[in-house]
Formats: sequence, C-alpha cells, structure tokens
Amino acid sequence: MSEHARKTLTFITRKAPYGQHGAKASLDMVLSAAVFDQQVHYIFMSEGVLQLRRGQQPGAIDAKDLSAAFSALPLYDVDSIHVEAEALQARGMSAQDLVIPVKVASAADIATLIHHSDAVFNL
Amino acid sequence: MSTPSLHIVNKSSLDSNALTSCLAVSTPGDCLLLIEDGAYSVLDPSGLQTLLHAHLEIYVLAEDMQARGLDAGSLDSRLCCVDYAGFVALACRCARTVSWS
Repeated sequence: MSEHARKTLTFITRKAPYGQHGAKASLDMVLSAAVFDQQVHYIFMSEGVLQLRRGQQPGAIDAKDLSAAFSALPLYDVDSIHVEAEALQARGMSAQDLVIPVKVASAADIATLIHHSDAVFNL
Repeated sequence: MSTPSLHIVNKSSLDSNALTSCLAVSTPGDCLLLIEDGAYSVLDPSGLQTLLHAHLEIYVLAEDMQARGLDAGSLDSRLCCVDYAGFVALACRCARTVSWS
C-alpha cells in the first residue's frame, strides 16, 4: 500500500467491558484498521480502562472474553496502546493490573495523539 | 499539524463525563460544539465555567437549544449559537471531528 493511502486512525474507548457494546465495537474497528495497514492508536480513557483489568471471568455472566483478543494486538502490529493515567489512578489501578503492556498516558499525551490523527473514532 | 479539531459532545455535563473527558484532551484553539442533550450543559454553572476556561471556540446547536426550551438570547456571550449550516461550516474548517457521547 502506498504511503499516500496510509492514514493515522485513533480509536478512543471509554466504556466498561460489559453491559454496553462499545468495547467490542472499538476492538473490532482497531483490528480491521490494522488489517488494512493503517497507523492505529488505541486509547483507553475513563471506564474504558476496565476493559484491560486482570482477572476478569466473563464466563460467569455468559459474556465473551475480550482479553484473548487484546493479547493478539501485537500480531496485528498494534503497538500504540495508551491508557489514561488519571482513569487508572481514579480506580486504584496501575499498569501492573492490566492484561497487556500499555503506555500510561497523560491527558496532554492523548491530546497530542488526537491532534496528529487523520480521523478519530470515539466509543 | 496546526489545524484544529472539532469536538462534538452530545451528552449533558450533568449526566455524563463526555464533556469532562473531551476538555481533558482537547488542544487550545480547538472548536467544541454542543449538540443534542449536550446543549443542556449550558444550564450547568460549574460545567460552563470549566468550558469557558478551556481556550476553545465553543458553539451550541441552535435547533437543539430551541427544541429543549433553552434561550439562545441568554447564552453567555463567549458561546456562539450555530445552525445546521454553521455545523457543516465548522466541520469543513476543522481537520478532524471527535465525537464524545
């Protein structure tokens, strides 16, 4: 694919993993964009950080486990994964509580990523 | 890239953290448009204060204010009322839109 066709797409996910469809929809969009060789930033803000929390057993409520799919992100060359520092802190969590390695990002870091994106999807 | 983003918020600041999250990661000079229930944020004094200190151009969609009984005439002078055509013009002027819901 020519460089001309390569866009920088930022996906912001701000919803907890169960009870709403946003989490799965964002993940599907991220994987789709990555398959089409786009530059992807995946940003977890607010309640969205809970999607990455360790120890989830969604089988208990017959829900699908997203953490296996998160582990597949490196296979799709999605390595720009950012988690809002303030959202982690507000929930008494740190990067060690998450199922995959991420970059802990300040609000200013996230603002910069948005500012350099061609398009932003926010669920 | 110096061109601004257009942030579109469609939830009231009294009911959702959409506006707070948006303001946290906006860049000075960006545009912010309150639409649908986002228009109710003009009734939230603390939300409004935070908005006005964010160094953004702030717009409210006239049709959504009208529908909700919000008086455009009593809007803070630092907020601009735009109609649908104005919405389109804003979207064209900005490099990207970011929807917050």
